[in-house]
Amino acid sequence: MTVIEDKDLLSPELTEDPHAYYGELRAKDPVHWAAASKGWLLTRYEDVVAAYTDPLLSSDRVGPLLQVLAPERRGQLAPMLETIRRWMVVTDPPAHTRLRKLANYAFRQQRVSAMGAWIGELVDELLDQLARSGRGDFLHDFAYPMPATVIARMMGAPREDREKFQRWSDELALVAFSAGGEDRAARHARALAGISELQQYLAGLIDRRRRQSGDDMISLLLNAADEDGDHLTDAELTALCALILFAGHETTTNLLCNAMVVLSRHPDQMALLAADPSLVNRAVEEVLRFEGPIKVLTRWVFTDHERGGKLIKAGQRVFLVQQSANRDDEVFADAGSFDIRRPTQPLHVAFGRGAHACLGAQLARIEARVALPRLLERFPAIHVAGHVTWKPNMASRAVTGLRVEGLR
Amino acid sequence: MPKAVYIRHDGQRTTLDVPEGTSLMRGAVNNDVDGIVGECGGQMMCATCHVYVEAEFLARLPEVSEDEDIMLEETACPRQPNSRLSCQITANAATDGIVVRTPETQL
Repeated sequence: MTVIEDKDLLSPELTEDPHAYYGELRAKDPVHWAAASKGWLLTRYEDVVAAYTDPLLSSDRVGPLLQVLAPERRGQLAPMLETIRRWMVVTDPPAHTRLRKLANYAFRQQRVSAMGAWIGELVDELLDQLARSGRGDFLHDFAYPMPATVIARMMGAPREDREKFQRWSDELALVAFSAGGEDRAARHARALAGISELQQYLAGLIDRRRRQSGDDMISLLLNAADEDGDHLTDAELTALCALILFAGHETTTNLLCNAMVVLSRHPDQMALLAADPSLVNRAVEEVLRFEGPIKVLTRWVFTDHERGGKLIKAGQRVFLVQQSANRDDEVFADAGSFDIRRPTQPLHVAFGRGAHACLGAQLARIEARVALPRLLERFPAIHVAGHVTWKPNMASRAVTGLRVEGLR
Repeated sequence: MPKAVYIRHDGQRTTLDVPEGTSLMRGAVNNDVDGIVGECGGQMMCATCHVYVEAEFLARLPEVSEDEDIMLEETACPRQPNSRLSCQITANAATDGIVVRTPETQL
C-alpha cells in the first residue's frame, strides 16, 4: 500500500493552492482518508462522476447530524437544521424527487434564455456604480449585488429588498459553507437569527402571492402540484425559497470573482476574450473547470462498502473533490493550464451531475456570459489589485475580498 | 435491442444497442459517445443533450412537451425544426434504427 502524507485541506498552504497535493492523491491514493476533514477524499474525475449517482452515497447529511448532536446543542440548532433538512440538496429520493420536480418546473418557467437582455441592463448599471464608487471593490459593488438582484427578481421580491437578500444569504453561508472566522457558537447564533428573519420575510412574500399571483417562482410553486396532486406545504415552500435564494447567490458571486481572478492571472487569455467576445461560452466553462465556485460536495455513508480497495464505513463522510476532478490530467489535456479555447467536452463537474446537478446551472452560465464581455468592454484595463486570499472553507472556493484597478 | 446511430458534427458515426426503455442521452453517456453531455441526468434542466433528428424518424417520436420546448430555446447550437433533447427520446420498437446528429457544441 502506498503511504502518502495526509494533509489538512484547510491549512493556509492548501487553501491557497491544493493542486500539487491533489495530483499526488489522484496518482497514489485516489480514495484517501483525510484525518483533518474526517472523511474520504475522492479526487479522480471518473470516481467523482460515478459517485454523483451512487445510491450508496447519501445526500442526507443533516438527519445524521441531528441524531448525534448533544441535547443542549440540539435545542439551540434545531430550528435552523429543521429548515435546512428540508432543502432538496440534503434529501435522497423519493423526497428529493418530489421537491426537485416542482423546483425544476418553477425554474424552467422563468425561461432563463430570455433573461439576457435585462441581465445586460443590470450589469451595465452595476458597472456604472463600480466606476462611480471609486473603491474598486469588485466583490461588493459588482459580484455580490448582481446575482442577488437576479434571484430577487425571479422570486418576485421587490428590488428595494435586494440588500436584505444579500445579508440573509451571507448568514446562511455561515452555516452551509462554514464560512467566517467567528467561533462556531457565534456563527450559528447569527445564522439562526438570519434564517428566522428570512423565513418571516418569505412567509410575507408567499402570502402576497397567494392573494395576487404573478409569473414569479413563488407564484408558480404555490400553484404547482406533483403527480398525486399534492402541493408543497408552507414549510416546504419556505425552505425551497430560502435554498434557491442562497444557492443562486453565493455561488454565482464566487464564479464572477473567480473569473476576474483567473483572467487577471492570465492576461493573454483576458486579451483573447476581450478581442473575441464570441469565446465567452467556452471561457465561462473554463473558469468553472479551472476555478469553479464549489470545491467539494459531501455525501454520507449509510452502508459499509468497498471503494477503491478501502473499506468505507456507515456514518463516515465521502468528499467528492470537484476541484481535483476538474484538474485530472487523465481527462483534461494539460489540465493545469487555463485555456479559454479548450473544448467544452469532456465537461467539467463544477455543477455536479444527475439528480442533484445544479438547478441554476443555466442561469449561472447566462449571468457570467452576459457579465464578462461587458465588463471587459467597459474596462479594458481592469485587473485584480494586490494579492488574492481565499477563505479556508471546505465547500466553496471564495475570495476574502477582491480589489480591482483599471476602472477608467 | 433497439439500435441508435449518433453522427458527430465531424461526420464520425457511432451505432449503439440501447436497451429498450432507455433514453438516447443515457445510451450515449453510458458509452462515452462524444457530442452529448447530459449534465442534469435527464431532468430537462440543462439542454446539453441536444440532437438533430433525421427527418424520417421525426414523426415516430412523441410530440415535444412544453418543458422540452422551453429547454430547446436554451441550446448552445441553434434550434432547428428537427431539434430534440435526446433525454426525451426512448429506445423502443418505434425508434429502432433512429439516426441523430449531435451539434458542434452543447455549451
